[in-house]
Amino acid sequence: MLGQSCDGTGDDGRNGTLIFAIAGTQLPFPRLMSTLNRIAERHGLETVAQTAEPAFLGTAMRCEAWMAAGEFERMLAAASIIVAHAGIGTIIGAAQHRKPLVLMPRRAALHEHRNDHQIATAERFRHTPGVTVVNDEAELEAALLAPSPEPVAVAAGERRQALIAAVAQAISGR
Amino acid sequence: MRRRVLAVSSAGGHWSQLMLLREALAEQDVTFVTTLAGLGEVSGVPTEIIPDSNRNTRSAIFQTIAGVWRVFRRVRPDVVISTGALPGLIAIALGRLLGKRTIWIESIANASELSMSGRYAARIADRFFVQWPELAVKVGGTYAGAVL
Repeated sequence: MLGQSCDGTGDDGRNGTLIFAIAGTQLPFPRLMSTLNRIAERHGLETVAQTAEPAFLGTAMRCEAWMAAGEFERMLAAASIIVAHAGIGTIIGAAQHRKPLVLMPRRAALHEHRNDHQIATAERFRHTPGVTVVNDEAELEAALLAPSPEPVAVAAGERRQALIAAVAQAISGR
Repeated sequence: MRRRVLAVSSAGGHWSQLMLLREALAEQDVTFVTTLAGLGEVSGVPTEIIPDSNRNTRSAIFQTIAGVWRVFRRVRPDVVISTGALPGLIAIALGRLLGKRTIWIESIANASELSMSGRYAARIADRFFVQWPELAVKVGGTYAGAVL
């Protein structure tokens, strides 16, 4: 399922960088997308954006409102860097595909989400290796121009194994 | 003893977290349910698709309820498990109505307060897990680990 494509394609990537921007499945994020579009235009950065907003025209990015699940996975795999709202799916996706991740949390005050839990999420994952939290154009630009960003690395899975065991027990009624 | 488990999660981060917990369902007869076609294929699990809805899409909620009911009738689960959001809560509520075991896992996104779905699920699910210890202290439920 392809959303409406907008005008413009990225120029030849700077050093082969491919940015994949993610607004998520539920709500558009025009502040992130228009900011990123300006930066992409200024520096000729090849950018693909999942915008959740069919009407958004990103002149310097290839935009799709929503992507089929398979295409979304292929984009995660192909990206050099992921720029996203601070959703848990993006953090998990970046970790699984071992990509650097730039997070811009949505703000309730700007009607970008129902509450400020994304700000809390960004704060919790700010110190995870490979994660950079940005709140404005200058910070986003600096993050995208930074040399050799490291991929997201999530700590060993003891917490996950513990939860898996607990859930398995709950299913069995223990 | 293999149980029939219905595992319901909205597309996006809720589904990603359910996939990270798949091992917990390995010995059961599990049917996954989500709101976006193709997700099951990406993860290699057979998946039913139901219409999505949230608190702002009142009319769509009825379609979600109908979808959940349709899957319930076909699968006849013993256990209903969800990582959220509203479609998962609807499945939990239906499971409780039918006397099935219900398990809710609050998203790791919520460290200091429960989601709205979570607040309702906390009252009706048999087991209620949160993924931050301080949240368990604050609102109750069980902290037993986290997907990340």
